[in-house]
Amino acid sequence: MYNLQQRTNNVFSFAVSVLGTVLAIVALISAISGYGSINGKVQVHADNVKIVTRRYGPENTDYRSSKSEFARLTFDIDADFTPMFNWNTKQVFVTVVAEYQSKNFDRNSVVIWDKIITSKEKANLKLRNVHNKYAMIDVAQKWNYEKANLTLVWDVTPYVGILQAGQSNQGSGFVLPPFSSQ
Amino acid sequence: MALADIIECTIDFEGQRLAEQLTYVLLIASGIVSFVVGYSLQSLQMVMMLFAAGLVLTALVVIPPWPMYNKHPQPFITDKVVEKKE
Repeated sequence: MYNLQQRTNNVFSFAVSVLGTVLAIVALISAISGYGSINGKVQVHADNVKIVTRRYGPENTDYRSSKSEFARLTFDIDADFTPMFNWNTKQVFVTVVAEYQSKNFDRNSVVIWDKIITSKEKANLKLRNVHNKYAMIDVAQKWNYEKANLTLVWDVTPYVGILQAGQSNQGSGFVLPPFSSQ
Repeated sequence: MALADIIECTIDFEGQRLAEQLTYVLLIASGIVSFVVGYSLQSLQMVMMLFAAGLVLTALVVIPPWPMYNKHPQPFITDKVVEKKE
């Protein structure tokens, strides 16, 4: 500590250690207390499920073929994420997931919509007639009357700490018919 | 003064001990204060700003060679005493 450089080094290095300890305590508090759960509802318009055929994957450049079946659906979202915004919340990442069981696989989950909420003012979601943002297609590339459920899933990104996720239990169901039956 | 003395701004040993204790006390205090105030205001931004203010204060108190760090200069034997002995 006998010259300027040593004192500067000592001060800044200890400051970083203290700051790290303070932020570690903040992260520990958030990890222990969590972000809570909300009653989120996503309601699909079950009579408004359209199946269309488009190109998919390997046949992307074959402009004559359009035999892969995609599902297009609309739904309403009612979820108030305001309780999840505390001093250590950077953003809440909300997704709508469609889950169904098919002939060859027991569990299929498709993310069809997502949204990033960055502040408490924008956290109260009341959305109507939302179209699915991402394509909904099965591995078999054809639908066959599978029964699907929509669930609301959220992930909270803190400023310091671990990511925490949750989901709502209420799901609304709909059926995915083959294209030929429409 | 030599160039090294101008750049380094040395302080004596008692001053070094005082400077070291001051850095620890001031930085830990600003850490505690910034955490408590930020937790009560529920704002992480307050934590960071108060801690930055505490860091600037500590730097201003400890780093420059204030006179209080030079109150106990180290007594070295001078050349004249050695020459007389010979």
